Amino acid sequence: MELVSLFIGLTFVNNVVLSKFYAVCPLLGVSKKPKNALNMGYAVTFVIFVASIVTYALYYFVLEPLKIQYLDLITFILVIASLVQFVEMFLKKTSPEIYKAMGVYLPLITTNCAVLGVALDNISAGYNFIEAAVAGLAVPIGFTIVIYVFATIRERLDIADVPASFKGTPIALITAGIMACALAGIAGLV
Amino acid sequence: MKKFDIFKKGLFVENPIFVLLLGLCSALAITTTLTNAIGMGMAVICVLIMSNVIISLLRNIIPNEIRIPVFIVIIATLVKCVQMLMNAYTPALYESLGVFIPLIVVNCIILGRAESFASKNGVFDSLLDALGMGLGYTFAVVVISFFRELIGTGGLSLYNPFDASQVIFDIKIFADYSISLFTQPAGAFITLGCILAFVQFLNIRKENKAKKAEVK
Amino acid sequence: MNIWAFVWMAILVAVFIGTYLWNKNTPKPEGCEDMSECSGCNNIACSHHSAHHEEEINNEH
Repeated sequence: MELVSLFIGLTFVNNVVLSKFYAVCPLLGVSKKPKNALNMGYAVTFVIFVASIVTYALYYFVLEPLKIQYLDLITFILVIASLVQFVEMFLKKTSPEIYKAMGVYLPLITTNCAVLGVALDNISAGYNFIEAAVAGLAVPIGFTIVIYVFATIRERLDIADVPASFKGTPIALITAGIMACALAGIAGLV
Repeated sequence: MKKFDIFKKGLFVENPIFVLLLGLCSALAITTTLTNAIGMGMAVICVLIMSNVIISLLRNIIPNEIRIPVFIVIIATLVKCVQMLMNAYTPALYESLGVFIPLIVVNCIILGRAESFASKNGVFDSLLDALGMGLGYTFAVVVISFFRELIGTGGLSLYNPFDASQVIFDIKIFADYSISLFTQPAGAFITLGCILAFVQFLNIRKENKAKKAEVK
Repeated sequence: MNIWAFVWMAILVAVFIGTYLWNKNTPKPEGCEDMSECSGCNNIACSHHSAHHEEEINNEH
């Protein structure tokens, strides 16, 4: 039961974008069309899930026994970057259709605060392995939901009558703020 | 390009947060109080200056093919050093900034300046560019946190980062009428949205003036 | 001086540079040249950014 509340907590209440501010750059840059947003969501979900498990395993099976915990940041970022490069190369070789749909967003995930943030948070919150895996799944699913909803709203914003100073990024940010208000309203759920 | 222009462009014309829209994750998250904003700005300036200088010194030695990986390794090492120093000398700031100190590694500003400027220019130019961008970032987060803290808590406060009990100033203006939404995530988005709208308003006005001058 | 720290850093850097070069030398499948989704993004570390394509064009000349 705790795993379910952890999942719901990370997906909605402490949503990675609207509450913890991790993946804001892709939210503003990539979310113009809902279909692209969904593709980005798939890519991010896969990378964060695998990265979360791998970095957790590396921290507790390599860094702690060798007493080099201070290398955690360098380890995580290099492992995440290697993983992204590997996934991109794998997609290029095996499936050009998936690469055409999702491969564009893969290099963007390396400098995405969300992946590194999830890896670091798993360690600092002291999760066990199952909890780290659940977190690695819940966070990107929350991200995908938010970015998809955001893309559908932005489609309508583009044709709405917005004051000239607010067109584009400013009104998108204010929309994100209103969405964050909505999520804050269910904070008592978990 | 004149030396002073390199420094000046990072402040306003190519301000990393208001114009280039890079590094927004940290800009939204740590701007709850003025102390946090200034502390984070200092950390980013340190990392930016050191990374620009080191990469500029090594720019002829690093093979061109693998420059992005090498930049990432250098920046990660620097950020970890800064994080450990902050943990030791400014523990209160370290606690309140939390995970966003290590997230400086993936802050697009640092890697962006390393790739687009430091790897192609000399050491002194890179130093000026880093200083300009860092100060521009600090200016931006200070502005955002000024509004958030003023409207959110009704006052402004600044603590010495090295000694959390020493208060530099703590002004309370209208604590009864504060809108505490602004200290929450929603308020961060709204504040940044309004500030960017103001910046866009200034740009539109400048473009209109330029168009009128052309017509004449 | 913990020797394992150096060994581990060397392993990580080697793996990263290995996968990076492997990925860079794998050509993109046809039809993927112009990814115009990223035109507004200022993230210059992304390998799809147009600054890298200009370099390739300059290198070819």
